[in-house]
This record gives sequence, C-alpha cells and structure tokens, in this order.
Amino acid sequence: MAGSGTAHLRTDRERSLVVDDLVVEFPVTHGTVHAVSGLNLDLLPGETLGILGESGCGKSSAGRAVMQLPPPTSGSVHLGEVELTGLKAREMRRARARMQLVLQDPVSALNPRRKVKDLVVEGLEIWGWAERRRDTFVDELLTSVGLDPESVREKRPHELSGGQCQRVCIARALALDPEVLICDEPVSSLDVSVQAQILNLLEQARERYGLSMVFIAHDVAVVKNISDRVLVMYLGKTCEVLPSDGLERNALHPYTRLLLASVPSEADADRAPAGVEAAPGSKAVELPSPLDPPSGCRFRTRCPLATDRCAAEEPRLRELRPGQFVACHHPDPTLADPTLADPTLADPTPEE
Amino acid sequence: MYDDAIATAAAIRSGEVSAREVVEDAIGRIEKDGPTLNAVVAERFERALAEVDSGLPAGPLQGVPTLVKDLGMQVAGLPLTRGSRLWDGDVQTVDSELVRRYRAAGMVVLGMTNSPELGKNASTEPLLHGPTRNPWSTAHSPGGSSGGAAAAVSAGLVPVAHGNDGGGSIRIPASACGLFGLKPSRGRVTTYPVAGTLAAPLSANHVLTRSVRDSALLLDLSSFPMPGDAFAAPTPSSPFVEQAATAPLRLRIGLVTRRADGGVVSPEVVAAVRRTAALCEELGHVVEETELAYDADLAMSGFATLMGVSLLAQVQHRLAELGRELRDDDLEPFTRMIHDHYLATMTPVQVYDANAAVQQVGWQLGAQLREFDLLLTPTLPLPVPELGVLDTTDPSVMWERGGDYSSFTAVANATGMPAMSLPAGLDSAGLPLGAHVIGDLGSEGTLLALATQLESAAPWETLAPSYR
Repeated sequence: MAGSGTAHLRTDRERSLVVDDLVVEFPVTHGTVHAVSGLNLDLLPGETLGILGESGCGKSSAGRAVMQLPPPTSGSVHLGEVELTGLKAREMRRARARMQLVLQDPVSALNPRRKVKDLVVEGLEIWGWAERRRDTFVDELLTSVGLDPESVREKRPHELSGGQCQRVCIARALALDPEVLICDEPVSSLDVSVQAQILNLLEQARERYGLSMVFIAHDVAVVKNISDRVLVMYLGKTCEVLPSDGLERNALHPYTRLLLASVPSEADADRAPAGVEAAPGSKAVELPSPLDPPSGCRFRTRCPLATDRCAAEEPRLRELRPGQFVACHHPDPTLADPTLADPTLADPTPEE
Repeated sequence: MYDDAIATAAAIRSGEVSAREVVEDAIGRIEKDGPTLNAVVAERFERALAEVDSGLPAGPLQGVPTLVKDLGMQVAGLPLTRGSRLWDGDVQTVDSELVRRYRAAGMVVLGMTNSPELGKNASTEPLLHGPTRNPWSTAHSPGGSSGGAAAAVSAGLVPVAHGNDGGGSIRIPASACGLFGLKPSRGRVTTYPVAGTLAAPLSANHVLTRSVRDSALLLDLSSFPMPGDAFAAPTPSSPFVEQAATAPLRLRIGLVTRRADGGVVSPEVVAAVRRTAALCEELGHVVEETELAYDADLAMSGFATLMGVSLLAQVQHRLAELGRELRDDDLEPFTRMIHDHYLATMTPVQVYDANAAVQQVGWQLGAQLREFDLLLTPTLPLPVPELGVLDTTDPSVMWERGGDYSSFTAVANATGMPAMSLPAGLDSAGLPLGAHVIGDLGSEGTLLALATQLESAAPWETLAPSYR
C-alpha cells in the first residue's frame, strides 16, 4: 500500500476492539502531517494483532489514537459495545481503564520517586478501588509478572533494571483488569536476552487474564513471534494483513517483503529473498514525507514493481489467500520463497 | 511417445532414448498419418536428421521435434505458401528469429503445418493444400487457422507445434483438438525479420501444446525482446515456468457466457465453461457472472479494417514481386471478396479510425479488468463444425458464419491482451470443448498459473482417442 479497505475485518465475529477509518493528522507550521490515513482493524477476544512497520509509519500514532491519547482526527474506536470517540471525560476515563498501554521506555514511564508497591497500584488509587490495594494483591501482581515481591516491593525505578521496570509497567496495566492491552514497542529498549522473557510474560498474561492484545513494533521477528495476525503499515496506510504462521513464506506485499529482506535468517544466509532486490543502500532510503505522501499507493516510490497505475489509483485490501489481505496492484506469488514452487513442474534446465 | 516436450527432452537427456530415435519416431508418425490428417504440408526430414547427427544446440528442449505453421514464420529451405496459390512455391532463404530461437533451444524443425489462406478462416481447409482433418473425428474441422498444428499435436505427431493467432487462430484449433493454446501479449514474441503490417499488433506467435508447462517454457525461451521491436510486452517479474508452477493467488474471475455481439452460444458450450468456472471456485477463486463490456461493433470494424489493410498490402507486394496482375485463381473466393471490398472502399481515415477503435476497445475491456483479474468465456460459441461448413469458396456463407467462431477470441487480438484456451471436456459428439481466459496485457504468468492449477485439478487427455 499502501492502501485502504475493510476486507480484512471480521464483521461476523464477536470482537473486543474495532477501529474504523482512523485518521490521525497533526498540523505543523508548513502543512499537515498525515500520520494515519484511514486505518481499519479489529481484534477478537484473546487474539494478538501485531502492527509492523518502520519508524515513522504511523503505528505508534495509531496505537495512541486508539487509546484516545489524543483522540484521532476522525474515525471511530469501539471497545466492546462502547464507542470511545466523543465520550465525555468521565466516561472516557472509565472506558480507557478497560484498555491499557505498555510503552517502549519503561523507566521514564514510572514516577522515579515512588516505590514499586505504590507504582503497581497507582491506577487503582485513581479509581479508588481500595479493595484491590491490599498488599496481598500487590504481591500477587508482582509474582505474576515474574518479580520477587520481597526484593522489589520497596524499591524505586532507578534501582531496577530495564526489564524489571517493564515488568512493573505490565503489572500496573494488569492491575486494572483490562480487556485490551496495547503494547507499543514494549521490548525494543531492552537487551535481547530480556526481550524474550518479556514476550513470554505478555503471552502468559494474555492467556491468564484472557486479554486481547495489539502489539506494535518494527522488528519482524518479535511481531511474528507474539502475534496471531500481523498488520503491516507504511506511511499511515495498511499494506497487508496476514496470519503470522508462515509469514516469511506467504508475505506478498513488496513492502512486507522488503521488511523481511532486512531480517537476516538461515534461509537468507546465501541470498537475498526473492523479489525485493534490496536495492544498493536501500536501508539508507529515506521515507517520503508524511507531510506530502505519494499519490495512489504510498509505497510506490520505493517499490520495485510500481507502475503508472500505482500512482493513479490507491490499491485496496483484497483477500488473495485465505486470511491474507493485500493492498497492491501487482501482487506476485512467485515473489514468495521460490523453493515452494514444485520443482518437478519446472525442470527445463539440462543437467550439464 | 512422451507426454510433452519437457518429458521428451528429459528422456533424451537421461539417455533413455536418443534424439535421433525421437525424431525418427516423429517422422514415422507424420508419414503414416499424413495422408489421413493432412496436417503437414512441407517437410525437411533429411535435413532434420542431418542436424541431429551433426549435433544439436544444448538447449533445454534438445532433440524435441516440432513443426512451424505455413503462415507468418519462415523456415529456410521450405516454402511459405500462407495456404494460398498466390504464394505457392515461395521458398524462404532465412529462418525467422522465432524459428532460430526454437532451434537454439535444441528443437528440430520437421516441416510446415497447414493453414487456411492467409489465416482468414476458423477452419483449415485451403484450396491449395486441401483440408486438415480433426484427429478426434476426421469428418470435423481441426479449427483454424493453426489447424495443421493442432491436428499434428493432438495426433501425437510432435509434442508441440508453432501457431499464430490474429483473431483466435491458436486458441480456436486448441479448443477444437483438445489442446492448450496461449496467445501471448502484444509484443511478447518478435516477428523479425517480417516487419508487421498493421496486423502485427493484432496477431501473436506462440505454440499449441499438450501441457501448460511446455507453453510456459517455450514462452521463456522465445519471448525475450528483440532490440528495436516496435512493441514490447511488460517484462515478466519472474520466468514463466516459475510463474506457471506457483499456485495463483485468489483470483477474481468474471464468467461470461454471452457474446458481446449478441450471437448464439450453444448450451453445451455454456455448460462446459460453467464446469470450468465451478472448478475455479473449488480452487478458491471468486467467480462472478458478468457480460463483456466493450462495443462489439467498434471492435469488429477496427479489427476487420486492420486485417483488411494487411491483406491488401500482402497481395500487392506479392504481385509486385511476381511482376503481374491478380488472376482469378490466385485467391480463394472469400479472400478475393475481402480483398476487392477493401481495395474499393478503404480510405486513409478509415485506417486511422481503426487504430483508434482497437485502443478504445482496449480501454473498455481494461476497465472491466480492474474489477476482474481474468475473464472466463467459451473459446468457440458453437461445437466444432464439420469440414465444409466454413467453405471459403462460398463467400456469402463465410460472411454469415465467419465471425461466429472468433466472436469470443478476436477481442484479445484487438486489445493485444493475452488469452488462452484450455480443454473443458467433450461435447455430445465426442469432440473437445474449450474454456477461454483473457487477462490484461502482460498477465501470461497469471494465466499460466491458473492453467496449471486447472490442469492438475482435472487433468485433460490431449491425444485424440485413436492416437493414444
């Protein structure tokens, strides 16, 4: 895409979160930043949706707009039955408690002067849910996020590691018993060794508390690992929505394939993935400005398959394989892993 | 005999059989079946065997015998009669570039296949060489104009044969003889050294095959652009063999059972294309009924004018070469009628408008190809005709019936779009029916991928019953 469309929405299912035509724009001195331009997504109970894209693609703006922090320029967000946009401040606070945000930088997300035992129940204080403020509740929460209550209860953030701080943040979010957890790059500031532990923790929390989760990140491996379904964004638009199972093999959008091409893996050790000839210095390519995004398909200025049609007409999401939705005028199944092609069907090359 | 050209080449490479044995076998079949089928109208058996003995190019189809159509392509040392008495004995001195590419792939050209005069008939029954018979039923036409090629392949004389298609002339005989026939995009296969007339953008060269993969491979081997070609098809994103072997994405297919010109479509034909549509749905594609959304009169007038100009120019150049006037026995009555009609009426503005018309039709059909990836229609609107039904000695009959048989196919020539015919079962007389699929310019890969999928979901028998 980067395109638009709603073909990927599951209107026949019970959904815990539905985002319709979300638009986020910021006025700046010389124009308007088009951060998110018509995002549609939905989340089934217990499902994890990954939102994948480079920095600047609008994925964090989208996550915040879903939380109404700040509210989007236009579009609607339904949390269960409740429409969030346009709620009065008091109702909004109540609704927002059902949806919690976990951010990239856990240390700065925590008040440095408060102790862990207080930080964890800060949200409850605001709501006056006194019964949950018992020490036993705090200890349960800390235990559930893999912290030893005895050793951290009385500590302040600066005495903890980054991973421990993120665990405290997750505990804070879980304390309010939310239905939806929105995680914005929750592990990207952490050491690789700690990332896996936090991902496991989120996965366990999702199962134990029956959460639905939106997981926003730039790292393909991380998003694929934790998500059931992945939505790929580029310059505020949706490129592709597909199951995370088999993502590397099945991805069709040239942008998704470009993201995959920048992930070193065993299969890629010998050659770059087919289709996206990682143009020399392609990593240095600058994103077009969100102040003035390209016409038609926003990815076309970096796309090896782009034609005139891509400039003239915005592609819409289409289901090209069961459960896989792609916004591209030139989807090409042979761009996937060519080893998938049955070699017996095409063996024209002489042995010698 | 092997299933297709790729299997034949593989058997030769493995040493299971020698190239000479394969070529001798094909020659034997042509000699045995020649008198009945009348598919091959010129041969070069001795030279072909000498080529085999002196060593063939080490291409992917080394040792595979083939035949070239007696229209539009030159084979050095063989006459190119175009099925016409006016060109009888017009022996060529050089190979066309396409023939050179076949040879570079290791293929062995055994001769020329029959064509109606200048390709102007959907049946192959020129006065010069006499009718070619359909291997499925010798009373029936093999279709046309690549009818000699179709008969040769469905009788197992050679695994693949060259054809060309200016109004359906690969797809119609493929349908009539139960074969796979792909007309590539405008500009995909070079016509060098014959600079096309105005007909060149309409017609396209390729092959009639028993398997989809043969068609894909031969397209890879023959379609790279010739420097200076006036038309160039969009470059494929990956080799056609690879595209053909990759399962297609979920396609939006428009199912068409009615002709744009409002003419008759036989119920048997409709039932066959619906079976193919149902199979497409089973394979996960989205099939929706639609009507062809182009102006049929505009398409036909533009198409006929461009073909008419081409006919006039060819006849006049030939007469200049021979240094004489046109005689009564030079052209068949139907060809003569078209010739005289355009000679008397054609204006420069009409030619200009014809070029504009086919572009308009392209955009009209192109708009429909935004909604659908492919359009599925019957290849022939009617069952395969018996020989004599499309009788070029009776111009009034040809005028009445000629357009019927190309009513689904010719629009792909007007627009330059690639299109294919694939087998879709048999009619009540036991003759093959074909399903026809059109895609936008450059979409051969998608067509081939769908064809492979249909071929493996419901394999077809390509050899006529008495040749199995």
